[in-house]
Amino acid sequence: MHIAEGFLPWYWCVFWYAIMIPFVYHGVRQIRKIRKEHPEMTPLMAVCGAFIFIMSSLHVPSVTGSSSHPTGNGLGAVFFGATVISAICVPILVFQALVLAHGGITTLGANDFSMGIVGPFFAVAAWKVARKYGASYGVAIFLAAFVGDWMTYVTAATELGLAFPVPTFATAWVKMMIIYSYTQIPISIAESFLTVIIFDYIMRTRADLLVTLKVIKPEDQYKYFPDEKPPKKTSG
Amino acid sequence: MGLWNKRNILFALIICGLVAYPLLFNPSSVSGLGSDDAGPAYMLAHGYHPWVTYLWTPPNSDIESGLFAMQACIGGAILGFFCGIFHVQGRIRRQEEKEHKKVDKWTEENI
Repeated sequence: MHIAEGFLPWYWCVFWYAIMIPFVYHGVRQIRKIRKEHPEMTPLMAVCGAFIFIMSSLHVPSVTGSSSHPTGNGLGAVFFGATVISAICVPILVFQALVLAHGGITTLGANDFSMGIVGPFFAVAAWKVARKYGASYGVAIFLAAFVGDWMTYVTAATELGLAFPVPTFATAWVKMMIIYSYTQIPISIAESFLTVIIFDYIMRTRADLLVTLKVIKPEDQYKYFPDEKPPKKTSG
Repeated sequence: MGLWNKRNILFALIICGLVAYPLLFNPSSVSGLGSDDAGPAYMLAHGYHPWVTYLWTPPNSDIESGLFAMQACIGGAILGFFCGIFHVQGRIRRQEEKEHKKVDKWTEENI
């Protein structure tokens, strides 16, 4: 979804920057608030950031005949909220633009909008809907990761379709959707399975952090270690 | 039941299958344009001219691959470091909870 440098007209660059800035501002404030109130969350935040950093560096061949890379934005979005991910994605995208010539500084707003805002928001929505309808944590985090990744690419396709509506917006959008979204489906599935494994690992090691973040119910933190569940206090 | 139970092993195999299948049976997925390049290629083919270019680009594809690998390594080091911390913290926490339970049990029985 990294739209390359110079591939959006300047007015679209300004537009996407204008949308990105309030989200990133809110995200930075959220990060400060979380770290102030719960300093023990810093390692979990680092894990989520590192996960995005790794995922977005991997060029994965797709069954559909092209290659692309996962985004890793669903995990952190479910834990900390979408705006936090919009802030975390900025240094990652800047690093990739300056060091790897991948993405761009002029297109940073558009790339952050797709990977750091729309993808994470849909991931959180997918998680909430899945949990509301009784899905297990595994299924819910799978859906969140899948939707977060895939919507990132749908948004990138839409951004390019809007910026370059040749011959028409519909034609350009369909073409971009085929290039981006179709390729991304198998990669999103692979990323989602990996996200389930990482989520499972965190559940086994620091489920208490997920309780604090209200990601899981307090009674579920002993799911993997039922022997360690504290006995219920009896009155008298 | 550890992390590498049947379910997670199955998931890991599916991931390997999804990545390995195109490498083995569809080499064009590796040698052809990636989706990040295909979008701009479509625009260039239809007459778009980028109005700004990169300040710096990797001199060749080997260096580019090396830089991507470096990024993955940095991310992997951070992820591994903090997952290691989680692992140790989780063990200490469970050990402490066991100790507390022992003390509670002893208190119940003796006081």
